[in-house]
Amino acid sequence: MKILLASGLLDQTDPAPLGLIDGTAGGLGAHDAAQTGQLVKANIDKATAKKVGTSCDQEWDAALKSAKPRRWWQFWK
Amino acid sequence: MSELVDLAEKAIDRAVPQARFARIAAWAIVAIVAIGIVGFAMWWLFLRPIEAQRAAAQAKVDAQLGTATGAAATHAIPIITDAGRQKVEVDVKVSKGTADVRAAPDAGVEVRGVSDALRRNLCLYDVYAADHACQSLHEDPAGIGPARPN
Repeated sequence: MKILLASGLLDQTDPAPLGLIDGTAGGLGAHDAAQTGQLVKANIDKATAKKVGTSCDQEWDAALKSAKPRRWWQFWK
Repeated sequence: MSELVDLAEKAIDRAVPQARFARIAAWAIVAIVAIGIVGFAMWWLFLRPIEAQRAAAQAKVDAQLGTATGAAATHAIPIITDAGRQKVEVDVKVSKGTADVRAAPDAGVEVRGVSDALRRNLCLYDVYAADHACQSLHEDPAGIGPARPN
């Protein structure tokens, strides 16, 4: 979780700047293109956070599995 | 013989009642000491090794998890770096797209009403609350109302 928080992946994705809407058709289109870009970035963050979380889970699962202590009566292990 | 001893003990108990209490106290002390010895032996033979084994196992788990945390961070770095690279690619696409839109023949057509309506509606969202372009709308009593804190 610390890795995810430090990575900035869970931070809010900024919207496209309103300044692009300048009263022209081109301004509307530019804002649309920029907003789509921000949406794609948010999805990249989400997918990456999922990947990082899955990777961490796998590491921890493997570590816990290998570190599972033998019981006191399992003298043959 | 034992009958004689019993009779003698009973006679002593009747003659000196304190002797009976002293005998009971002696037995009680012996019992307490015996219980203590048995308890110590149980602790020494069973509880102490189990506790030592548990501590060793905990140390092993801690070490493994420490290693896993390092490995997880090592694996996470390239994944996060790749996300940064993908976002740069998106920025490039947005930049090209914006330039393309602006260069369109009818890009300069005035759409003032649509633009104002869009801005007015976007300013309702918290993500735009602090945007400079929304300030006049928030401050206008007939506008969309005060901005909510993000």
